[in-house]
Amino acid sequence: MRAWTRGLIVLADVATVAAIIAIWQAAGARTASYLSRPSDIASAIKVWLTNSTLLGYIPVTLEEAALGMVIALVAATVLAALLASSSYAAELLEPFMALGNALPRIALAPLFLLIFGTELKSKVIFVATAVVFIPFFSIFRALTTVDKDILNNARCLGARRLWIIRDVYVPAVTSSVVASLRVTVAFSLLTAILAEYLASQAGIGYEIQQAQNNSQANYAMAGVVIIAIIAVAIDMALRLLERRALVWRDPS
Amino acid sequence: MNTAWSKRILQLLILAGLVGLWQLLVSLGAFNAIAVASPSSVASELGGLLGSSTIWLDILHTLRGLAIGYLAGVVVGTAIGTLMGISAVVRAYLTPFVAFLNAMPRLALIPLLVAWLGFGQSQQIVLVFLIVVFMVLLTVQASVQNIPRRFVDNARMIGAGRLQLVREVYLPAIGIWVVSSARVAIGIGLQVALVGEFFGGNHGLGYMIEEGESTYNTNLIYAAVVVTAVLAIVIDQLLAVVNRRAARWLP
Repeated sequence: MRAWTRGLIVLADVATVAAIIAIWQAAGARTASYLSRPSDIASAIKVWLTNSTLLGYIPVTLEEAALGMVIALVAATVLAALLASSSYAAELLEPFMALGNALPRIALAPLFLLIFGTELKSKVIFVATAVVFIPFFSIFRALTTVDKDILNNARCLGARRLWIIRDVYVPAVTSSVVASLRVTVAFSLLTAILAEYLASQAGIGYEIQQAQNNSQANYAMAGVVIIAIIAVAIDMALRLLERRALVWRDPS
Repeated sequence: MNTAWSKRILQLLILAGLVGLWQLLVSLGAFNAIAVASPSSVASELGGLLGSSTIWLDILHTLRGLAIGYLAGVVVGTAIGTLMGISAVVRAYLTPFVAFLNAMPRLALIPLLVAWLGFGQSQQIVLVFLIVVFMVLLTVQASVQNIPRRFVDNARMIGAGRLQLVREVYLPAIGIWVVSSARVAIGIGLQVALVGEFFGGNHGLGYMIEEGESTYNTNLIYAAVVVTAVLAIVIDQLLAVVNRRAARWLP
């Protein structure tokens, strides 16, 4: 594609966004208040930024998502390492893993709230359970498909068990974690917000739900806009990380 | 004894052991009775549910929302994905929007969708659509871009018109990928459909779970979860079979 075509397309993108905002602004003035308007949403965000309630809520949501994700990653690594080290155990437990994976885990949120309450702990456990299978299958596959040649080469060079773990298995696990990280992170954030919608006392999801209950559409929309910005920013950062981290891998 | 059989028996024993342990712990009072129901009371609740007609209507309701949302997602996703696959200009124009919407947690839109569309099933359908459409779109786009150039050239050379090209080259290539992505897309779509029912409507399995929670009817929650899990596994296995059949002609 020529440079000026590319430029025109970028221009068209910008124009489309501007048109959507303009139409929304014009339509929002006439139709029911629940649609809100871009200007109202912007002023709601401004209010939030100045009185700092939101700034207090963002870390709450991120903490739930991050803690849940770290627990999921650790559990997935341990579980995958155990199952990968014994093919009999792996075969024996395969139907249970498949069952756990096929379970509609996001839809189990009310169960977690019931068992563990509405505090941080309950959200962290929910996020961890909902997310754990994504890295698990990725790590398990990486561990069980480690190139035999690499293993034999390492052994030929006199590598002991610990060295093989450090130089063969750990890189395999790390790269599979990185490769599935974008999906894992997106899911963690999503499930944390979902749990906040269902029952909570703090967090962005709580804020949106509160605003909705008080018919403050502009605040609810502002909350969603902020979630979108955070999620897209994290996703872009992880995409960069992924490209850097996996550079050494075989392109195949 | 056959090792495959001994493995199966061992698996059943593990399952029985887990259920037994669960029953034992509940009857010993290890859990809060409001939070954890015993397997036996869940089983009797389940028996009552399956005997009534409402559970089947609830299942149908959930499946209906899933089916409409999924089909709409496939139609729109295939159309836009094909355009993006064929035309570099369309692809360059739409990619920023697709990337943004795909990275955005769309389930966060639930409260807004409920406010806009009401508590009926339409918010659930839109939610399923929003999740499925981008999965299909990205799959279709990649599959169209990956159609080997020579297939298209060969078909043209032996005199294929535009319509024939679509029918003989593009549709099979797209179809196989839509089918193979269906298992993941419908699995996630089902979860989304259930979540949609937490927030709106008064039918469906998701509503049943939510109803159990809000009325502290623990047996009902667990029974609904069991039905949901069985439904998810049945759908998953059916799609696995469809997948194998559809992929049979592939080299």
